[in-house]
Amino acid sequence: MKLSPTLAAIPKRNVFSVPNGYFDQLPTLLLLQTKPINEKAAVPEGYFENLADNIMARIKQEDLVSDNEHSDILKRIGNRNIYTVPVGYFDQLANNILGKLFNEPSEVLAKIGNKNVFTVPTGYFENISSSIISAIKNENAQEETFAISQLVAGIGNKNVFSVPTGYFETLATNTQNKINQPGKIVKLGVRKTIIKYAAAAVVTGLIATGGLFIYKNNKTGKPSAETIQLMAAAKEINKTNSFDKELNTISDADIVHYLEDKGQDVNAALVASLTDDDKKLPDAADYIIDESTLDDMLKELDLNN
Amino acid sequence: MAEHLDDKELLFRFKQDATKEAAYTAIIKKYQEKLYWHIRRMVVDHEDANDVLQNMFIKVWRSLDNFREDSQLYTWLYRIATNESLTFIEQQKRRSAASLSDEDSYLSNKLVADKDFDEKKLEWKLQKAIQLLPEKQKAVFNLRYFEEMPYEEMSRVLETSEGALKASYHHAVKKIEDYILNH
Repeated sequence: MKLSPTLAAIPKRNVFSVPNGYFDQLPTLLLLQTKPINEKAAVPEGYFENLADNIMARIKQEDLVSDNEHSDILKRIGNRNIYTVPVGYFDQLANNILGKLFNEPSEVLAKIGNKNVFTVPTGYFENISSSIISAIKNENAQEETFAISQLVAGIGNKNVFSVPTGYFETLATNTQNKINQPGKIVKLGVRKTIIKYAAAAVVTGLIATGGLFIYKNNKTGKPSAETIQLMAAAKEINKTNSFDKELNTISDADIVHYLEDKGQDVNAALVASLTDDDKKLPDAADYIIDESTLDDMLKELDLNN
Repeated sequence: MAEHLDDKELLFRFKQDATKEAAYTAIIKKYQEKLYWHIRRMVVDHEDANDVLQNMFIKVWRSLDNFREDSQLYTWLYRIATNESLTFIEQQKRRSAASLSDEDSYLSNKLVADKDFDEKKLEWKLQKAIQLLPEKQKAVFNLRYFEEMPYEEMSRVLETSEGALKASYHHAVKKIEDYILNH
């Protein structure tokens, strides 16, 4: 104050003022400014979610309290349920109601009655036990195959072959026509194999007949040109062992004509065609060497008598 | 539509002159497809199958009057079809050159010649493997694998015991598996 007696003469009174209660609220205000405001933290967790329920609960409670205030006896008794239902009552309730609904007697149904309208094939019940036993005895083919080889079973049994269009539609008629077709060969069998067997007999018979011609012609000393040609062909077949090849060159029609023309050879050919598959026909060479081969075979078959 | 009648009725009608042909036609129509496929799987070629099938039905016409009804018509027809197929194959084998190896057999050649043949497809490979089986074993395999015929019935068709058929089928499947794995 020595420096300025003027200043020293001014009283030290505060000329500023603060709003009322400023300093009372200041710590709180400062605290609020230093921490971020967390609205949710400001109320208990789930407060707003449960608020409506809580209010309703309180209203009800207050009502109850209010009611019970009228009777202390009721308050002491409480609201415990004293009734019981049979065990499983509620589990079966829906079914019982439905049952009652549908079991209402119907006049229409009553008139129809409960007579069985379904049928089973004749003898079904008589055979059912044997059918079941049979099914048990014969396990499923696919399962059986699978047990042996999964690979083979996996291929499946799909059909890979095809037939010409309309084949099955005409089969019965074609077969019937063949039965009704006249002719020696047809009567004894039409299949190719029999024809081929007949062809074998024809060829061998032809050669044998040729051999017979030579024998006869040798007696007269005049072999025909046909016989010479025939024997040359026969020798060539024998030499080159081309019997099968030659046989295949003869058409079925030629065989049929030949058999029809040569009565004696028809029998021979057909006998040959009907021999048991296990009984071998004589070789072509046998016919050339020995003209009695066919007769011997017939004797052996006991069909020549 | 007489083919829908049962076998007993069809046989009865066959034995009456007035209904004989109609009953016969009905029998063919009733069984033709089953028998055809059985024969076809045996002889492979359609023309051969057609020959065997027609021939067997002609035999049926001639012998049906004497058919004893103590066996089923169905079984009897299968027996004829099988026997006819086996006989046919035997004859064809005799006629084809004996020089062919097993894998180049008469029936394998027929199979390869089929217009639909495709070696890449497993089902055709299976058919090729089947052709290597002995003929009767082939019949057993086909009846069981493709037609799923019960052994009891197969026993009546092939006149072989059920045990022998089961063993035969087992061997057939194993042989086929072996072929497929190695080819």
